[in-house]
Amino acid sequence: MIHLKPEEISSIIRQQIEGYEITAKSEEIGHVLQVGDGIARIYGLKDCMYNELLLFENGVSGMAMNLEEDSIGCVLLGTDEGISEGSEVKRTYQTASVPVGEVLIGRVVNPLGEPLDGRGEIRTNKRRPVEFLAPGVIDRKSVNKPLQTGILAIDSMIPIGRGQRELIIGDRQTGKTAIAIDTIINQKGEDVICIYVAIGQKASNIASIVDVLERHGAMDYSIIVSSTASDMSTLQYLAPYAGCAMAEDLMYDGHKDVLIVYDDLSKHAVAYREMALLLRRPPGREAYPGDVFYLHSRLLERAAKLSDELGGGSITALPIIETLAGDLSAYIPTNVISITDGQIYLETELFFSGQRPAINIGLSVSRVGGAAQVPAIKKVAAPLRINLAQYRELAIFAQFGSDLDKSTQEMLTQGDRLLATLKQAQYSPLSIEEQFIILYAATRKCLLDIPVKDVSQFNKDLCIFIKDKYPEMVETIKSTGELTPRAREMLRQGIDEFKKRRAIPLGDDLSAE
Amino acid sequence: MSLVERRYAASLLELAEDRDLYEPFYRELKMASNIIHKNERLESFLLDLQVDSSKKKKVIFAVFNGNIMQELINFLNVLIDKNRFEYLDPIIEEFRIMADQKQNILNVTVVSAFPIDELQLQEIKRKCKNKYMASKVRVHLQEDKSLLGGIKLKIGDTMIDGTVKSRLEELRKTLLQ
Repeated sequence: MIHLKPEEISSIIRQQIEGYEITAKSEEIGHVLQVGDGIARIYGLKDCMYNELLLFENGVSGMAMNLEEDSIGCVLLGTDEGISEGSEVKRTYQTASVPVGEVLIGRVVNPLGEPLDGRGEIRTNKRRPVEFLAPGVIDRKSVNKPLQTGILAIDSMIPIGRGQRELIIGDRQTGKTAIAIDTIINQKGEDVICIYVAIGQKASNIASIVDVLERHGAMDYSIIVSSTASDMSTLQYLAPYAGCAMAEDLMYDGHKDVLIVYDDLSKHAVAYREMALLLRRPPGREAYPGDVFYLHSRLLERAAKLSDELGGGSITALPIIETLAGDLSAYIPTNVISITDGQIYLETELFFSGQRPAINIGLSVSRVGGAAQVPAIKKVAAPLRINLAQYRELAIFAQFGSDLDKSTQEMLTQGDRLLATLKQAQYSPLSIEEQFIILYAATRKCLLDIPVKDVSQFNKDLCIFIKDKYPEMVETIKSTGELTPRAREMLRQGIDEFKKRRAIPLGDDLSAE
Repeated sequence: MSLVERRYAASLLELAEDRDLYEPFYRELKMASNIIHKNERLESFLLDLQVDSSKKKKVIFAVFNGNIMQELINFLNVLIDKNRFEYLDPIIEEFRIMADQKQNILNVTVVSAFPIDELQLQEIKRKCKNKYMASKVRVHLQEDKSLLGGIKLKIGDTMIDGTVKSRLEELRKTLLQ
């Protein structure tokens, strides 16, 4: 701390006062005709731009959303206290923007970029408009690098590439947010910046998410944009765009890989509907305004993998949609499904039958991620989807009779083991090599003689054993992502060895059964 | 301003334009409106939808004949026929705005903390006239003690702020940075 003499400070102030220009400033002003419900109607301001920020007398700003013949429909970004009929409104000649840059990493901010975590102001002069044109065809590149979620079921069958948009969809309480949070936690050491945008959520939920991320050391590379259910719909509407602007800065200027989670876009659509109805835009299907598709498409189009000419970098988007009673054909779910590059569909029944994460493999798909999947995983996971599909078919059939031939019986046993393998606890992401070992053992029918309840413990112990005994094989997978014949041999040998060892203490228990 | 007001004001304007009667039209209409407003019973009578329009017209004739121009009496009659009498004041205001635009008259609102003397007023008028190339400047004076000093000009959507209050505000912002 440098000590300043009092006269130094006052001399600086005096200089400032002396150098202060005395000029009358010219401003454009309009007047409030009507205010209420977070909407103000303004008369005047003939040259106002669309989406321009306007400044009210009480210091609150607003965004011009409707430019009409006689008036402007403006949504307020703060309280309407102190604004009354006839209040003056000034133009700012700017559209809405948020502070961006790496200083935001580790912070919790509101959709205007103001800190909420009580850790001081955000010192940056860099700002970025919240609405920005998505990169065009030439600026992009197809996805070629995987974004590991650390969740076996996803990384094996619904792989996500960096720059992809993968929808997480399901009813309430099916673990949608859990998947997103696990993915964020798994990005530790992966050089991926994560942005979690909470839209219209309970403040307590957001607080617990921050807590979880902090405990797992994930806040060191994360930004949280929070708009709670008690925030104005305007802020909820702005939140994903603000988060995306922060991501864009990291992608365009920092050439970083960014993961952004929009939790969730159903509430975003509801917030936008509220605004649109108050602005008297005509309601359409389910009372959403006509441009609700564009609302989400323009947001999700901003996710991209930049070309090498632009220096690379990517934004991977994980939008979340909450369905009602599993209804995928409602308006917003169908819209967002058609915009994204695939979806992860979570089901209540699966969740309560204990299959967690409750991913419905049949309805989940990743349209582009396959190109970026780790080759070794891709190879070993290839039969997984079809095996599970056959199992499901057989399982329904097998409920009716008990006499099953041997091959059918084996298929059912194998299917049970596969499903058990895909179960995974929250906050316990698996690395690529662990996933590979587990998948290899499961798909090569090494689990047939293991009781279903022991499968997860077996997998866990197997990983520890192989990592301990065959570090070379693990290293090959980790560094190249390919399965060399030598590594394959080592793995096979390792699994046999492990099973033999395991059989000794367990032998008595098994014969007793 | 709604479409109704603009339509009636525009037709009134065309009428005035032919004989260059902007000023008298406005003055006399304003007078008529004042008379109606001052006389509560007359006002409610004219606005009452149940009263036959021919009766209203008779009253209008009786009150205003000889006091205002025949065109304006006709205009009031049209408003009665079309059931638009309640729009009289907004139409007059709209007419005024349109007429000012037509004649290139600049309306300037001068807000000051203290009364402005004639010399200053002439200077403001001259400057505004030159800057906006107006044929005439009409000044509306307002006083607002909270400005502390200096003046604030409002011209249409533009506000030119040279008040002590805004300068102090600006100073506060600069010092806080």
